[in-house]
Amino acid sequence: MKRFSLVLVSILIAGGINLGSQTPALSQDAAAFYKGKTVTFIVPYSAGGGYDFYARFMAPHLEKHTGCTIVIKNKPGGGGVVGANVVYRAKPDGRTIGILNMTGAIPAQIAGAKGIDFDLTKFNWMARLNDEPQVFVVGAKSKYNSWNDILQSKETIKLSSTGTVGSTYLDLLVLKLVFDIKTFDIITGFSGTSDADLSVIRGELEGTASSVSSKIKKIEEGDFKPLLIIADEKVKGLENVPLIYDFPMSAEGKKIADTYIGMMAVARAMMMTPGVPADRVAFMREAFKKTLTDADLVQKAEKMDRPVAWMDGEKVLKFIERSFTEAPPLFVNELKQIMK
Amino acid sequence: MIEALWDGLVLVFSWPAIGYMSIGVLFGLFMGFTPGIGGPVTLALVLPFSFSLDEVSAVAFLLGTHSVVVTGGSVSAILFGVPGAGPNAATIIDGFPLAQRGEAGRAIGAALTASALGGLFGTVVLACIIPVLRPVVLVFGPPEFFMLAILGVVFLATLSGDEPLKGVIAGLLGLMISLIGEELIVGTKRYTFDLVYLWDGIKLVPAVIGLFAIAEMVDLLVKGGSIAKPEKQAALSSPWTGMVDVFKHWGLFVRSCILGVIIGIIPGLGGDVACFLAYGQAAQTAKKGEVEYGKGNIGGVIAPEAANNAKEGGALVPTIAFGIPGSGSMAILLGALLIVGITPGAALLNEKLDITFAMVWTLAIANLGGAAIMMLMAKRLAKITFLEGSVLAPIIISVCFIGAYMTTNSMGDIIVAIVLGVIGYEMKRLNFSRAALLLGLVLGRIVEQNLFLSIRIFGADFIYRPIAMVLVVLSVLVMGWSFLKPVLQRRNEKHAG
Repeated sequence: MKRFSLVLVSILIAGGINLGSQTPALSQDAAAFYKGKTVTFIVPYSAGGGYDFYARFMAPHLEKHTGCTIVIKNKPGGGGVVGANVVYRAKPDGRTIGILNMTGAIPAQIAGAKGIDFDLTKFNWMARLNDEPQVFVVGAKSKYNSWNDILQSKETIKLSSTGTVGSTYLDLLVLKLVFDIKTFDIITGFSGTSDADLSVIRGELEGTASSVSSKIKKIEEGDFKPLLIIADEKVKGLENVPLIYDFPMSAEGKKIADTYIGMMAVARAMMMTPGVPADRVAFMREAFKKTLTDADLVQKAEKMDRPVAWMDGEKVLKFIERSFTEAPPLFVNELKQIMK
Repeated sequence: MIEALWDGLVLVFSWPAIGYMSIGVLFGLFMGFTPGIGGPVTLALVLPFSFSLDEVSAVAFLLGTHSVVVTGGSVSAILFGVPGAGPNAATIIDGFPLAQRGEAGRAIGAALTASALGGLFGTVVLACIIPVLRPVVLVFGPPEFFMLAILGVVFLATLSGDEPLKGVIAGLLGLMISLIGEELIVGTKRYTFDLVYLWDGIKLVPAVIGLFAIAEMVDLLVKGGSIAKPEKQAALSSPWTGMVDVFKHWGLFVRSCILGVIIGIIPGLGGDVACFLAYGQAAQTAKKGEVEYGKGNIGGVIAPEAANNAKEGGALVPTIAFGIPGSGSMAILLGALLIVGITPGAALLNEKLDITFAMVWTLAIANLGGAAIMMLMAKRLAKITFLEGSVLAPIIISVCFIGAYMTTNSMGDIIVAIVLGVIGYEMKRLNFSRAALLLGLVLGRIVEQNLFLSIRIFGADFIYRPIAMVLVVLSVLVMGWSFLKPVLQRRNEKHAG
């Protein structure tokens, strides 16, 4: 009954108030600036999606740590481009933040895709939300049982994928380039990863790839056999699955793998408009750090298969810059093909 | 099993779960009635409030909210031609003409009854097929999706009565509009003119708002008067008449429910398709002497509403059994279930069967309760259609723009609504079927995508898969019948004469 009325009250006042500011004396000016102000959190995807969830999940904590009111605004379009442009062009007063899927944004900028007004290296990066190690899987009844089986196969291997700009396609493309696999036949056009997954579960296609977090349940339930992890360190729950670097690859192949894994290391990250005063950037970074290292929040997120793994914004920028300087020409050309 | 069924009911009616469900139902109805705010947005808004609740309360709260959004939306669809939520788009086609005839009360009654009973139907099916879920879901692949969509396209020909060519032209226009945007297969951007907004294609809600609501309001202002002619006010139709209509069209109702459930169970087709397929099916099976579809046939309200709510029961199936959401709202629900400690999968069907049935009961009770609340208000709401157009239209047009803008929070949405408003007004004037255009718009992408996937996966032989073959035969029969029917009718008339 008590909880009932509590929820009722919070619905009535529509989540707008701050439950006492607990701001440390990191920067008095910035703290004074944010107190009582509204900050717009741009989600460049539709309400109800994964990024929208994360934003709404973090918002109350950010409010607690900054004393400001967070207003979430969905700006879907162009696979995140529309929303990222909005954050980039916002007034540089630190009252606009955003979240972005880097595995889409970095390749798009590398390829010089149309519609992009932003430069990823110029954003003020707040924090990494999580990394997304990727996994290659085949169906439970597939005759392939190891990555070596795949490498040695003489037959065509049909794989299911979302559209060419999705990370599923990039995963498969990277594997194809890194190991110079001639037998991959990547079938694009599924609406999302769960549709691509179902095609493999139905036995129509041999396998697919995408983030570990989207596959782990189906691996545990025996729908998929995991054959390879695209990351540079072991993944919890899949310790027996080999890593991409466990297999021989050419020098150019290794460069592609390095670049791609670098992108995956900062798969989801939050940013602020370029040119915001340094004290406000530092203040907001601190708020993100406190939010994403809160044990209760991390545990709740894990429970929902929505992992959280904080990394500082300055380090995020290093990863982003690296992917632009290190991307080998072969990879860049392939990306230009896709993003044309 | 019986025991779990009972335990589930007790759980739902225990305090505070029933209180949360009531709040959810009221909020869901309100958000549904407000144009442009669909199920996923509503659920995203209430989601944070569920985190601190216990399992049963959270389920009752979220499912209660979710299951009545479309119920609320059907009322604004009928009264103003504005879809409260995406799936209500099909309801407008005949619902709004009914309101114009002064039968808004009857149409609302029929819509509410069909959606409540459709929801019950879907729930019962859900409860029955829980044991054989997996094989049912896995039987449908791209070839079957493709043929289901083709069956929908075949219905096009029947949507424009005695001028089939106009129906085909409108349908093709819809198909062309559906091709705008980035296609999924190789990522080519078609007809986007370097506008980022167009990359994602033309969205259904602003399109429907333009085609129907804006076009109708312009028409109302041009002609003057009110939505319904004032002389009909004396005989203000009662929602209870509409309720009786559903029972009079029992066969149509059941067919629509079955279609809805099937499309809900198989993930990958999307909810809007269910309503439009059901609508097409209703128009196809219309009997001689009935009011023409698109001109205010009560069947055109019953079919999509029944299919939509039946579908939601079905959509819960893959969500709780596999953790693969059957619709956008289900994806959000899935996240919420996990956070309150309910993990979809085998455990939910074995150890926590009472919770599963609590979900089933919530769906059923919320559907009935939501419909009952709206039913009591229907007669008063219907009076709005007798307001002078010069008072009503400006209000509705502003609400339309807000509703359209909610789709992606971009000016592009408003431009789409205006452009399609102009097209819609001209189509209405020249007697082209706007329903056919919508069907083309909804199905175009699905046809293309699944044809491509089918050929890439199975080669041209995909068509010989058993279910696909059945659907081929059905499509041929439907097409043959729509050409034969007028011929036979003419001959019968000759004989009679």
